Amino acid sequence: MNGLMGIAAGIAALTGMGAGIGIGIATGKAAEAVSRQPEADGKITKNFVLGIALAEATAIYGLIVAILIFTKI
Amino acid sequence: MSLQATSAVENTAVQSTTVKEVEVKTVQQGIAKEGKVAEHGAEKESLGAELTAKMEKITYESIKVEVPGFDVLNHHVKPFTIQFNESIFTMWFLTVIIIIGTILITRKFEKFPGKVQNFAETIVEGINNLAKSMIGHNWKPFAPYFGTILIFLAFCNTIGMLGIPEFHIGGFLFPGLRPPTKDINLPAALALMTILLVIGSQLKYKGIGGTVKSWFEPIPIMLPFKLMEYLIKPLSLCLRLFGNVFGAFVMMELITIVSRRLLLPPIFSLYFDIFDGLLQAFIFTFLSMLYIEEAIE
Repeated sequence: MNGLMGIAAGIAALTGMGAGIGIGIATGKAAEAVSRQPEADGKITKNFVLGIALAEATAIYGLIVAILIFTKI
Repeated sequence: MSLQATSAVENTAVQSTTVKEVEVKTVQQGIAKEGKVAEHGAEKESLGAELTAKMEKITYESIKVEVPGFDVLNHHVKPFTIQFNESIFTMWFLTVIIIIGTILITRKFEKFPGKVQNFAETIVEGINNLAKSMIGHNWKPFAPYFGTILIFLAFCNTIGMLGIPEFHIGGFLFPGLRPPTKDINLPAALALMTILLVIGSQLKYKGIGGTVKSWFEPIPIMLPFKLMEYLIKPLSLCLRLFGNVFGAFVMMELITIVSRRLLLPPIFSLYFDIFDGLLQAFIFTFLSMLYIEEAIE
């Protein structure tokens, strides 16, 4: 049973994949936007940080679910 | 009803006595085991590890304070215990450090600033500019709160990189300095404070009518989502901070166990402790400001 729970926690931690793809796309677009319009640096950085914070949340939810599974709740 | 309640109390009392007996038994067994091991004179390292683990368990759970209270259900005075854990001690330590530091920095201000005053003014200016650009023209009452949160979280998230282990003073085992935000209760408290501030400022700046009106703002079908936001915002704030700091903490522990002799931990600590910790402190403040701006615009 413990082994199965470990596998379940590992599957829950796969949410990191989506967050990684999302943050990668956001970073690429932000770099593109800064190179197109260097004077809008501040605004772009603000939106970029907001975006990666929201994209990262999915990975964090995966981590929380993995912890919950592993502590048998 | 009262009979049932008293019987429940008796039951719990019986259970607690049995638990105590079991504990005594295990302690006796442990003593017997130690005697055996000492006789054989082997397995010193494992014994040491076992002992330290036992010490940790005992001292971390034994820091309890009994407070007189009143049991409402059973109508009698019954003391309840407040438990102090590791993160509370770290928070107290950090609070004392931050208060002393701010008093020392802001003590002698002059018209022509020196180095220390320049440093303090830079920090305050930065926080004010952030609040100004995020919240808008009503930034002034909110800036001190967010500055406090930012500085406190920055200290909390990066305290783990000092790597101070547990230490003994007079028989007590004091916990080491680990980030208190890896305990979910601190981020939860901060997120609750933020959402209360959001609701309060919304009621103050928009009024009750404006608040109710803003729930139906683009189209009336948005009402359940707008109401759900009051729950989802603090939940996501709390889980984001907790998950990031806890994940970084676990990663650092694993790296330390695997590659202590290769001098890898300091390199990874640059990312996991300093960069990630400061970024998460900033993001928490940033998102709180965004919610405030959304509420009062």
